[in-house]
Formats: sequence, C-alpha cells, structure tokens
Amino acid sequence: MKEKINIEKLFQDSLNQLDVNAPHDAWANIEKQLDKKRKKRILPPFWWKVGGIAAALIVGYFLGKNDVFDDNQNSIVIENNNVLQKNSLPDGKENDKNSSKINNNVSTESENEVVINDSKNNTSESDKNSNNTSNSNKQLQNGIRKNNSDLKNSFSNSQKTNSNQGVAQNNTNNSKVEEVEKNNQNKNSIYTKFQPLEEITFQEKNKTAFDNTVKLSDKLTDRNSDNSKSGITNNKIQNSTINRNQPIVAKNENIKKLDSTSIASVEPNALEELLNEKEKKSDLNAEPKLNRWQVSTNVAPIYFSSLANGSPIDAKLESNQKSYNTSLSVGVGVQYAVNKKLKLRTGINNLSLDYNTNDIRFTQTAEAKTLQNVDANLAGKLLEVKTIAEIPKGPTLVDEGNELKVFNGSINQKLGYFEVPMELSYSVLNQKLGIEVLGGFSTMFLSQNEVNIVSSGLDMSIGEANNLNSVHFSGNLGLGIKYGIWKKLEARIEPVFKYQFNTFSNNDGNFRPYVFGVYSGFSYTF
Amino acid sequence: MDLEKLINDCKKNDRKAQEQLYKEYSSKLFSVCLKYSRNYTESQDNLQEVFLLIYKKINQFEFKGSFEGWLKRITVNYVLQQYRTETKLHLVTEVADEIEEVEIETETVSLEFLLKIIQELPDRYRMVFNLNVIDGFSHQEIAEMLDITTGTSKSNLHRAKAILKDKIETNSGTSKMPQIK
Repeated sequence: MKEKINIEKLFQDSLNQLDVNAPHDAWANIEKQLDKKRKKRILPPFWWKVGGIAAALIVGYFLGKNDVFDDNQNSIVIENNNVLQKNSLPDGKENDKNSSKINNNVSTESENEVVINDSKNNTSESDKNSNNTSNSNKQLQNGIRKNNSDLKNSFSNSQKTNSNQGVAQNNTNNSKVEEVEKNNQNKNSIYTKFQPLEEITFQEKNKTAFDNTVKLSDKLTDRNSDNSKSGITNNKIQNSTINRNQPIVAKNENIKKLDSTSIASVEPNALEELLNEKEKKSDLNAEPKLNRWQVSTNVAPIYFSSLANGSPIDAKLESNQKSYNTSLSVGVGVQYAVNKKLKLRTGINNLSLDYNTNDIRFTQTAEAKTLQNVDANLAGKLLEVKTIAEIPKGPTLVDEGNELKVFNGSINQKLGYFEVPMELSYSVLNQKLGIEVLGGFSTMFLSQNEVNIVSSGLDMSIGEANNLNSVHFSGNLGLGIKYGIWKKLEARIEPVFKYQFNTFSNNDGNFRPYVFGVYSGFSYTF
Repeated sequence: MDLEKLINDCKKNDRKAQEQLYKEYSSKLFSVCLKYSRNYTESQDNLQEVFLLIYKKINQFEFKGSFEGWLKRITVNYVLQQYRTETKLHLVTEVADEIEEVEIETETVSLEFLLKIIQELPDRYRMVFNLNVIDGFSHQEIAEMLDITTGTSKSNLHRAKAILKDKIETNSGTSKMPQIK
C-alpha cells in the first residue's frame, strides 16, 4: 500500500539509532597501526636533545601563535560537551538495569549481509510488580525495519517460554490486539544490525516454530499514544513487518553485557535528556571556526601633502607655492586574525609621490649654483634656479655683461617607495558589513628619487635629492569598511592617513609630508 | 570496566584498554561512519583512522560531558574532513523547502536501501543531509563545519532530498529492494 511519509522522518526513524557491528578485522588493522607508531617513536637519545632544542626555539618564536602548529587533524574540533545525536545514549552502566534484556539475531536470505532485528522489551523497575510477563521479541523484517524505541508493547506470557520462536503479526489479526496500557510500560526497541556472512545463522526449523506461535504472538497489545515520534509511521512499519512471515532466530548466546545494542535500549532518562538539550545548546553557542589567514589586493589614489609649507629641496624655496599631485598605490596584503576582533596585517605596496614647487625661474649658465639639497646631474649643474622674488621680471637676465635667457617653471620632485605596512585592525562591527579601526606603521623603502625642472615643453631631470633617507617610517591610522560578497570573499574600502616620519636625513626645510590614501580592494579568506 | 579507568588507561596507551574501548564503541562509531561515508569499505577505513585519532587525542578528554558524544564528534569531524571539497564560488538562491513527503510502498523500503541511497549521494549533499536531518545540526552550524554558506547548505539539503525522494519513489513498488553489499 502506498502511503505518504515525511521524508525526513522516514530517515530519522530509520537511521537515528542505527547500530552496526564493526568489521572483525578492523581492530587487527588498528593494532598494527598502533604498533607501527610505537616502533617509530624509538629514537636515539641524540635526537631527543636536538628535538628538544628545536622545539624550544620554535615555541619561543611562535609564542602566542598557537595556531601555527595546527595540522589538518588539529582542525578537528574536539569538544567534551558535544552530543551528536538527538537521541543520545546513556552510559553502559545503566545497561545493568535491563534485567530482562535478550538479544536476538534474525537472519535473512540476503547474500552478503544479515539483517538482525533485536527487539527488546525492557521491563522497568516500577513495572515488575504489575507486569511479570515481560518478554523479548524478535521479528524478521524484509520490509521496513524501524526503530520502535518509543513503541511500548507487552506480550503474552507464552512468548517468554518461546524466546527462540518467531513472532509475526498480521494485519488481519489486528482485531486481536488487546489494550493493556496499565500494565504495559515496556519499551520495545528494534535495532538493526549488519553482520558478516559467516555469522549468518539461518535456522530453517524456526519457520515451523514460527507458524506454531503466530497465534500466541498476535497478542501485541499496547500502542502508547504518547509515542508521537513514531506515531503513524510505526504503525506502518508494523504492518509491513506483519506481512513478512519470516523466521526469527534467537541467539541468546550472543548476549554481551556491554553490547552496544543494550546500551541503546536503556530507557531515556528525563533529566539526561534535559542535560543533552543543554549540551546541544552550548554546542550551538560554540565559537565558529576562525579562518585566520586572509590575502588581499589593494589599489588606492594617494593624496600627498605637507603639514607645513617648507621645502626639502632648498631653503630659499620654502615660501614657494607647492602643488601636490594625486598618485596611485597598488599592492597586496596578508592578514592574520589573532582573534575574532583583532587582526594583524602586513603586505607590500608600491607608492609613488610627487609634487611641484612653483613660481621659480631658471636660467642656463656655466657657473650655476645648484640647489641646496640636490645632487645635480650634468644638466642640473648648468641650471641656476631662483625664486620669482629673486628674478622678479623680464625674459632675460644680465650676468656680468652676458644676457641670459630666463624661463618660468617649477621644480617637480618624484619620490617612489616600497611600503611594508604592519598594522593592527580592530573590528567594531563584524557582520556582512564590517567596520574596522586600523592603526600601525609602515616601513618605506626608497625606490625612486628624482628632481626635475618643468617648464613649457620641458621636463628635464636635474638630479636627485641628497637628503632623503633610504628607509623611513610612517604612522598609520584609518578606518576599514568591508562587505562580504561571499563567505570567503569580501570587498574593502579603507581611508588611511599616513604621517611620514624621518623622510629626510637632514635639512628637511620644514617639510612635513603625509599621505592620505583611499585603499580599496578584495580580500580572500582561507 | 569503569569508564573513567578505561579512559585513563587508554591515555597511558594501555593496549588492553584500547581494545576494550574499541569493543565498546566500535559499533556506534561504525554506524556514524556508514551514514557519512560513500560505502561500506570507506566506512571501514574511516573507522580505523577515527580510532587511531581517538587514541591520539584521548588525552584531551577531560571528563567534561559525554564521552560518547566526544567520540562521535571526532568521528563526524574526521569523516567530514575526508569528504570536504573545495568551495566553489557560486550564487546561491534561497530554496523553498518543498520536498517534504514521499509516496512509498511502506513494505518495500528497507533500512539497507535507505542507507545505500544516502551513501550514493554526492559527498556534500550526504554530509549536509546527515548533519541536518539525522544529527539535527542547524544550517548555520553546518555552514561553519563545512565552510560553506547557509544558503549553500539549504540548497544542498534540498537537492539531497530531491535525489532521495526520486530514488525511493522509483524503487518503490519493486518487489525487492536492493541490499547493501
């Protein structure tokens, strides 16, 4: 008969308490592996010393970075308080309470596997007085084999004496079912087991025995209405079971005190279930795994300027107007999450800066006085640069009777750096949209140093600044805004202010440079 | 043997205690492996590796909470790691959970068959289905465990159910359901 069943419930009822014997040779293999490991551990004393020293060094180096040592296996979360299944099983200690537990193995005709249904009617202590007829029941089922752990049944006394005989139920016999709820507190659990072929015990004789006991066994009585979990499904299971007139084989000799099925058959304790619920809740609240490493790309327009109107090129240009050009920074970064809030980040950026010192006039002369902080090249040595104040007007300048042509222009200084930032970011908001506060410093390695003179139709290098440090630092402060596109990919935009320290080795001409960049890019989390 | 003593002996690498521990919990953990693995053979391999891992990690068990829960947690996490695939970036649409019921011939659906069709599911679908339906983890938890989004988890579950439903309905009505080998 076709019936509609909730697909989740179908699987839950069937698989929740699946209990299958492990293969026989598994322990032997495990033991071999354990032996191998023991042998491998035998190391000469020399290695212990060397290993100890190496370990001490590594531990010292990575102190506070415990996760560096995580291998694949360490990523397996091991929590003491976790309970995996909704229907957690009590300790084996409680098995002893099951005084009437009988395990029965039922064989089928399956070629490679044997399906064993163990039905256990475990009489609780309180029922012993009222119901002395607790029995063990076995049913062979080729149809649906359900876990009827919640189904409460009682059986007639006759079964007790026929524990090796099969019991089948027939739909037509449902009328014979007697309601004896008062006496029935027995829990009937059916567990399914798989066993290797060699364990199959198919006892043909039980077929006959089964036939004889059908009538007796049909006294399946109580179906507790409280068993909402099993409900209709269990009913269906029984019907399907009934239609299979298969023999039931008892294997009482297989009973083991610590058999896992017996553990599973213990009546759930209300307090324990509450505890399990609590444990499950604590699981839910457990910290999710932190993905610590992240790589990112960034590109930023850089606004370069100075806090004071000095000039690092020459003191006489201090009051000249400066115009700062917007340039570009590109780079890659890597980020390590120290914890959920705090991240350490570094990377490398290529940064170019340039600005113009305007309002200068220059002329070409063999006896030119070069700029104060510029190592002039050949062309630069032939150029005399003066401010407009020094040569206020006129296209020519007379010098010792010679008429020199004077040009208006500006001096363009280009600075290029490889920037290695070392920053900490603190998450203020860490949702799909995140906000971080950034702070740290950058080490700037000088990569470009040029001083050019620029006039109409002319852009000529005149040398390089001699007062620039090859390495200097900047203090960084900024704000990061990120948006999670996917779980591992996020887009970022970070306006960052970077004040430059000791850019110049000496004679900085009261020039106080800073950069303001709006860094944007994508980050990928591992 | 007292469980606490058994665990402490295992911590000392006592072989007999290790064997006893295996005897007591192998069937439960093997059942977990069967549900989460692709087939019987892989379940067996996973079980062996899980026990080696348990013996290695047992020192970390501090008698807080259920030991059996701890063992199962290790087992599930280990098997998840074995089948965890690279996350592929794709847009995930919210899926209405409409596959709720399946029409079957109740007499013909065996536990072996249900287990078999679960094992035949693609790895990710199988993981998500087991975690959500059998072990009751939320999509948020599954997303964290499998390193996927909750949307992906929901989508995987939906597809897993669709496959299972199809297989059950296709095979329902046949006189004999396939058996696990």
